[in-house]
Amino acid sequence: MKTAIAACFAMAFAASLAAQDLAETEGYEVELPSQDVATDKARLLEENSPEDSLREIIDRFSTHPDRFTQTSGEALYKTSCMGCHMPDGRGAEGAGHYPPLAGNPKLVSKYFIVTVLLTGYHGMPRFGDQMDDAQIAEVSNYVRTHFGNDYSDAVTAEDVSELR
Amino acid sequence: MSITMPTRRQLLSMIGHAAGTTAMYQAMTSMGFAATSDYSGPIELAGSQGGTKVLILGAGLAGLTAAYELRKAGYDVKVLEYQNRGGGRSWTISGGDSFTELGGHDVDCTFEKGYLNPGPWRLPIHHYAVFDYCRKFNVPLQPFIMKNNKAYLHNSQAYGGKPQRIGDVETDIRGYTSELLAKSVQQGALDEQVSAEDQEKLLEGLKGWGVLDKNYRYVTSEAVGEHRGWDVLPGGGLMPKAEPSTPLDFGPLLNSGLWEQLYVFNEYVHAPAMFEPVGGMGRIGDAFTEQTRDLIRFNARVSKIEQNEGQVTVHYEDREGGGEVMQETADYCICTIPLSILAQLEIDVSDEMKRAIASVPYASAFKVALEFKRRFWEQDEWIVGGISYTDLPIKQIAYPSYDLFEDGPGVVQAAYDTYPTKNYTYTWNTLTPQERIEAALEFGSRIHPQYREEFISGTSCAWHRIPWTLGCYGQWTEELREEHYETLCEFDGRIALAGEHCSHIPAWQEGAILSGLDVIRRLDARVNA
Repeated sequence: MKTAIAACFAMAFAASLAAQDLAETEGYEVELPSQDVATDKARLLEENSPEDSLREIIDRFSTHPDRFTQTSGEALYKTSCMGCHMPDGRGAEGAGHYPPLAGNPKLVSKYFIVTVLLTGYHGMPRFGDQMDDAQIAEVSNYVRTHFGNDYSDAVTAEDVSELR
Repeated sequence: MSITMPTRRQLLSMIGHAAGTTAMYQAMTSMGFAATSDYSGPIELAGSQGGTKVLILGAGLAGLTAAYELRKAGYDVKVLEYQNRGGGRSWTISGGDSFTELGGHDVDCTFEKGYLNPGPWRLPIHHYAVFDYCRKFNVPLQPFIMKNNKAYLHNSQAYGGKPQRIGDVETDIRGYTSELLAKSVQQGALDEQVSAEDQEKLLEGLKGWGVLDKNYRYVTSEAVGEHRGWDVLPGGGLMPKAEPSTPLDFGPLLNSGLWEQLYVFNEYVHAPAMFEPVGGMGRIGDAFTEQTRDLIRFNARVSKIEQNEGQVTVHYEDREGGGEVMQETADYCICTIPLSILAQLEIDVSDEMKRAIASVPYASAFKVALEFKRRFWEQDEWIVGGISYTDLPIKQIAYPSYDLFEDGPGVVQAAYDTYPTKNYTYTWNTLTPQERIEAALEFGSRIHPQYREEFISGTSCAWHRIPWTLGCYGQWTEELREEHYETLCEFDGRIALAGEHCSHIPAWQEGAILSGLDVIRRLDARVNA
């Protein structure tokens, strides 16, 4: 089973790399809502009292220092991935860049994102030791069904367990 | 007495059994981090007679050490830097500073006095190279108070959330462990390990070390008052009679988690005395920059690094000149660009080197500093310098070691964490600058209730939001080092890497400087071979 998944992963990885190459040569663009910091702030102030806002910030932290305690994909995204890949999933660009998750062809393979989360990738730290199988699955599924992504082949905790 | 020193593996295993894997991991990293600098005085290079040109990428401490020394030895040196400043992570944020972080938010600092050192902030005395360059470049240094017995240890689940003084916890732990060891000796539990004669010496030692009474018990007494402190201090004239303080009960203390928070003070890198530059750690980065400013081209964003048998060509965009692509050629290239960024660039090196560059994750880290109307930690709580530790996501509060006892506003480093296995620091990196300040205020006010009343302003640095590092420092593991470290540090044709990531002292300035010195020593040997 593990070999089969690994082979499948390798193929999907190759395919997604090819897709990436294509996308890069053709200058693909993804349509996304614009990231407008000022608007976000205004919206927050309008909807939430200061106490609510503070509660939302404090609740974003896990209740355990060594591992993430959030269970939903959205909550996990907002307490980890969002630091680099940003609230809108579009990544960021400085001396180097954080790749966008929005419209990223590498996400075609569910095994790619799971492996990246488990082992780290380029400068990205690994999360396998701080999230269990179900959490890795949840956050993978969240990313693959948001930010303009719409993949229907969900990651299961069993998939994650096989790849550990 | 014959006690065999345990091996490193045995020690780690003991720690693992006694305190769980988290403590073991901490012990492992601290062992790695505790490596002593082997700096042996100013570098001596044979030098370049033929005007060998060296292009250095990155104006942090590794790059500028190399630039300074190579120029001195007659090399033709040029430095390309992405930022509009030199010094890299040797950096201080003070009033009037501002920058835009990844994600588009501005980070401002309006402190009247005081500052935040977002990266390095204290110098252990065995970081000889740092001190040598500070001496050479006239960077004034002052003591950094690492341990203050009046500062707090705090666990929100222990003592009803009330912080305990470091000195109280430490004296009590020492007292109780001494008492227990004395009991073991008296009950014959150590007869096989310790001779009868040595047992007497051990008991005598424990009595003094743990402040035990004549029955080898750790209980309140005049002597305990003299070591642990007083409920009523000895006074003058007809003032009330002194009353020694009372030790915390052993069981609750053992279960409080506060003992673990004390371990940080045992580390070699945190041993007293520690030092800091007057005016902030950035004074070191500034000093290196002043020495080499005429060699540095700022606002240069490197995009491609090529080499052939004869030379190295580096392509870069001029960030000020509308992104125009420029080229620079040289005989050699010393590249100090963080691996988090270098892994994304086109670079002509071996596949093995490319794998090494791509293999090292960049550690998460963050800091928040808060400015208060008055130094209430000194005035109300007699905490003058030092660091309090807590289980809350702020992890620690560091009180300034400068401007002590002054009136007027003061700045504390109100939150800092970087342990790569802990999750809080990732969460801090998801917060906006304003949210970081609010979170630091909320958590900190559970230790210092004065926070809200006295707050003026705050600033922060979330290292994964810093455009020129994409993370804080190379997060090595023993396995990664085994597989990639040597490749990463070896010359690949005419290109060699340097930086804290090419050292056994990751995240420390000493590692960056030693890496810079080591790479130019090898370069100089090649040129003069």
